Amino acid sequence: MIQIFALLSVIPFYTCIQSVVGKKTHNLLELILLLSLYLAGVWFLYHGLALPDYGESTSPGTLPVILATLLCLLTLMQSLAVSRGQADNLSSNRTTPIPFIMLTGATAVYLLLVPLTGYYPATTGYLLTVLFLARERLMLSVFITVFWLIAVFLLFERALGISMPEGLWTS
Amino acid sequence: MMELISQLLTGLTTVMTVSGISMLIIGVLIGIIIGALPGMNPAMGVALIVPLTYGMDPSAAFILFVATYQAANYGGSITAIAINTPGTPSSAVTAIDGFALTKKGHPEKALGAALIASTVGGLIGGIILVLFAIPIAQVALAFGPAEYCMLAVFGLSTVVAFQPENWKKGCIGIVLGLLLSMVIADPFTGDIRFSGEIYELYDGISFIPALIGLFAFAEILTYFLFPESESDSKSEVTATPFLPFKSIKTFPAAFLRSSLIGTLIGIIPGAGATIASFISYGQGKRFSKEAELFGKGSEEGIIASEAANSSSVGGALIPLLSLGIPGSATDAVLLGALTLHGLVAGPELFVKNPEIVYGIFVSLLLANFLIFFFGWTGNRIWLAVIKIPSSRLVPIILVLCLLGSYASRGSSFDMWICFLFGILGCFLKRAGYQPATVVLGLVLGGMIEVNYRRTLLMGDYSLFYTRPVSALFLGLTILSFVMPVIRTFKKSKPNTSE
Repeated sequence: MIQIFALLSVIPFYTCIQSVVGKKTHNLLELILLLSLYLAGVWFLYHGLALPDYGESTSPGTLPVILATLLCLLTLMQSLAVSRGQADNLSSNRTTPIPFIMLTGATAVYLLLVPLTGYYPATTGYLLTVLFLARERLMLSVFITVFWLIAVFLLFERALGISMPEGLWTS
Repeated sequence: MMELISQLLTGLTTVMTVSGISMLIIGVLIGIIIGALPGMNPAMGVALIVPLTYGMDPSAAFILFVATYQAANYGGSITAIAINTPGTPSSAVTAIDGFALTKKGHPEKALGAALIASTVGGLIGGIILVLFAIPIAQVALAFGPAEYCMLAVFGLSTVVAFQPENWKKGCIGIVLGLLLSMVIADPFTGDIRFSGEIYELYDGISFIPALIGLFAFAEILTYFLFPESESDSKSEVTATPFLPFKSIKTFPAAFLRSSLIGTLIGIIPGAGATIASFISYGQGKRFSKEAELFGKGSEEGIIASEAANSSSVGGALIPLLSLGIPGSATDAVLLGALTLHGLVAGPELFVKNPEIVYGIFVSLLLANFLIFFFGWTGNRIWLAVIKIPSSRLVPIILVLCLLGSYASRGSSFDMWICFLFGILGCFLKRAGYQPATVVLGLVLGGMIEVNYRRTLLMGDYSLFYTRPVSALFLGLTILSFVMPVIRTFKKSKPNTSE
């Protein structure tokens, strides 16, 4: 079964390529999403089938395999509908990927830094970066950052007793 | 009846003391703040104040707990409406219509609707608790795995409300959510499923960070990726006053129906406020005269969600007080607090400590009036927050999302969950999929799988349709999916005849 579904992944791949070649970028985002979900479905199917089988009702893989198959079938059907132009008309607002990429990149770096530097130093850098990306004035950015750090310390650490992550480098 | 009135007067005497009223006010204020903080939930709020009550009189302590519990359920709606960050899981549904109304420039309407729905829902839940605690608790005990499974499957039918225009998109969202709920060590055999070497996933994908990611983080990523769409949709905030009694007069059925659904689901141990608000929203849309407005800023949608999650508190207290069975995580904390104060939940509590039981009943009812008062006053602050320019508000929401995700379990890994679900939510939204459908799958997945397998271990598939309550839910599920098809067919009939 897994081989069949792996082969069928050609369909969402083809619809994506067709959309790019035909310059129908309107639905490209949905097609890429569907392709990703289809591949996720195949991944779940592969790992679900690999789980041990204890009989119909107690098998850990029974429901996941059914659901993964369903996800693959639904995404295939939707991919075909989108490529035939039967899907909903979506608004085609202009995307600005650079701030988006910078924001996601900054967030990933921040999340990697938190366990190393601890919450407060990492958050200072991150919040200033995001405020810069949002085109906020420098002095106000510094004020907002300091206000945030004090608020977190007083509300979360002192009042609620939730310790913020400590860093390997700073502890 | 006379005995009940006299017991309620005993409860009223317990509450109407300086310490009782102080605890009620403090509890409501703490609850609203805890509920509004993303990552904090009512259970955490009550757990945090338990150590403060060690030396306190049990009656005063339980007034504080109940007021916090009820107010936290309302508090979740504030951030859900103002900044699309559900403070509690049960307010996720409120965010859909609440934030849509805020974007249209009517946050005061959304905040007002949530407030009045919480008050009315909480009162109805409280009244049902007072009148029918013991007989209803016995009915709740009749729920077996087949009933739980079918209740959850019935909950899935809410997808019709979330994605009515494209069933395939709705189903893709739900199936994805259900699959993600199975990234957890198998609850029966302990086999590790789909988590590879990431041991943080052995307990499953943490729900609160996923929720914050799909709603709030996704919204911010959309703001950066599609600034045009954001500015298009941002309207001037108007200062139209919200009229609560007009709202009750316009949607009386919605208030009553949602409160009853919330109370009934609250009674069932393990179901809880989140499932109650999802089911109530689905039913709300089904019976609404303005169903097309749901998801686009419907006041009735907010009422459906908020009345249900607030009334579920009264419902959840029924099995806890009368049978000693905690219906939710918060009730489990309350059960622990009862033990801590040397009390045992169950029928004997009504006989031995009526002043505490009826004190809880009365404080639950009174807390709703205080929630209304403080909510009404506090809404001005939230309206001011909404008016802050996006360039200042968005970065703060971003760090708040990540902090809330961390605070829910004290795990840095949960910040990654929030981030990744944020990216998923951003693309789902832009492609016309409702992230709420994924949340629905995530909420119900575990309940469906565990009870489906338990049912089959007890017998066979016939249990699903031979047990009366299970059969009822099965019938309702089929109806929920079939009715929209029939309606569409009826609507298209005159056209075909022409």
